[in-house]
Amino acid sequence: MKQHIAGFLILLMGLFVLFSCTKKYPDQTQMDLAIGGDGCTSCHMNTDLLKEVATPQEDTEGDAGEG
Amino acid sequence: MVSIKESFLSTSHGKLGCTACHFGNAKAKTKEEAHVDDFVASPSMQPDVYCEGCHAEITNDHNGSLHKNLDGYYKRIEKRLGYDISGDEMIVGEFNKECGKCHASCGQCHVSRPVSVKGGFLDGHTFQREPTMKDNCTACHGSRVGAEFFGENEGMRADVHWIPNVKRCVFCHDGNSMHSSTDGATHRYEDQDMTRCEDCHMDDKEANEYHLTHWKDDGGLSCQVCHSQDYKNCNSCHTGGAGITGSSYMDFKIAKNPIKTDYRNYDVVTVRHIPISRDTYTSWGITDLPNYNVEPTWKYATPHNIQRWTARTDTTGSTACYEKCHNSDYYLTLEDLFEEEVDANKDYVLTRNDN
Repeated sequence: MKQHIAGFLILLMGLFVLFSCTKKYPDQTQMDLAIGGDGCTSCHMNTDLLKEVATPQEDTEGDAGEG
Repeated sequence: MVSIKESFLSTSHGKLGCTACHFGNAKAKTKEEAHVDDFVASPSMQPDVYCEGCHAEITNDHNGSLHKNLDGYYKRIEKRLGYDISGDEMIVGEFNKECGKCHASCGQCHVSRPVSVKGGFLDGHTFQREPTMKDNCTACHGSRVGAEFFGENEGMRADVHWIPNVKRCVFCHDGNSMHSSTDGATHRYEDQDMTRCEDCHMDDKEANEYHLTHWKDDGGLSCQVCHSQDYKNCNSCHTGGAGITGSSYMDFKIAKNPIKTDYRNYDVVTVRHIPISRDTYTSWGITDLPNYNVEPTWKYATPHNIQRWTARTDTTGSTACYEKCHNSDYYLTLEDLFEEEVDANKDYVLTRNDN
């Protein structure tokens, strides 16, 4: 009986550690997978797509820089 | 084009997830849907909102930094105009549009190049603890300081402190001095966090007869008077895209210290001609600067092209130690001034019998 109780407590502690130590924020690849691969990185790591949809920067006026 | 590298995702910032800082819709299928109303392209333009949570001390320091508030520019405009421009939406708008390109947000030093050179990630969105010399520091401080430091001006050597991959800008200008400015400082030379030569070189104070004569606790010469090479000066810059409409030229001039304080108490310093003119801001609707003369147009300068042996310190062939310098063309005199700038500089010029 004591062995069963001890095993149960160890299991509880294991579950506690497992769930309490998860990251506050999922890392990026997990996040993308979780949303079916349609997250930010699926576009922002696709150079060909970015070239297609990027908004060209406006020409800046005059000299740049402080010197 | 915002192209991130996979390696960024495993960094501490990458692990936060894009929307933690940029908001928007991460589940969107198109760019337009993703970049919805709450999308923030440059979070660190609002460091109090997006950076302070983890970097409170630096964010707080940065609030008073000249790199952030650009007071070095802003207050000079106010001084020459003679009034507070904060209520003038047009002038402030034009200032932000043109001068604001050099506003240094956290991201513009640690993630991407500054707006003034059209941005671009340094390394696929990975945050860099130390800004890069070429893509950050000299992206803004390039035409004069950068060119001097790297020895890019014809006939001039690089600064002795420039050792590629060993001595970079941060060797002298550490994070503390770059993130903050002394309270109330409206000019870089009022910032007492800024490094000075003496911070490292005090052991050289009595190293030779020149130092004994000119390196004084109560004045004397700034180090650059002897140890700078020729440096770039510019005339007549205009807003609205015109840029430098006058000349840009190499020269070397010394004058009475126009900003003498306890912290920078040198009697004589190197001065650089700045490209201000009475009609600099015409495109902003400012046709004259009524108080043009309250600030010198030959300004205190610390050229970044230091060498031990220069045209001043190499006395080979001289009959007397002072022959190279005293009463020389290095002196800024009344004859060097344009008519319109005499009043702005007359208190700082030297005369040839000033020793």
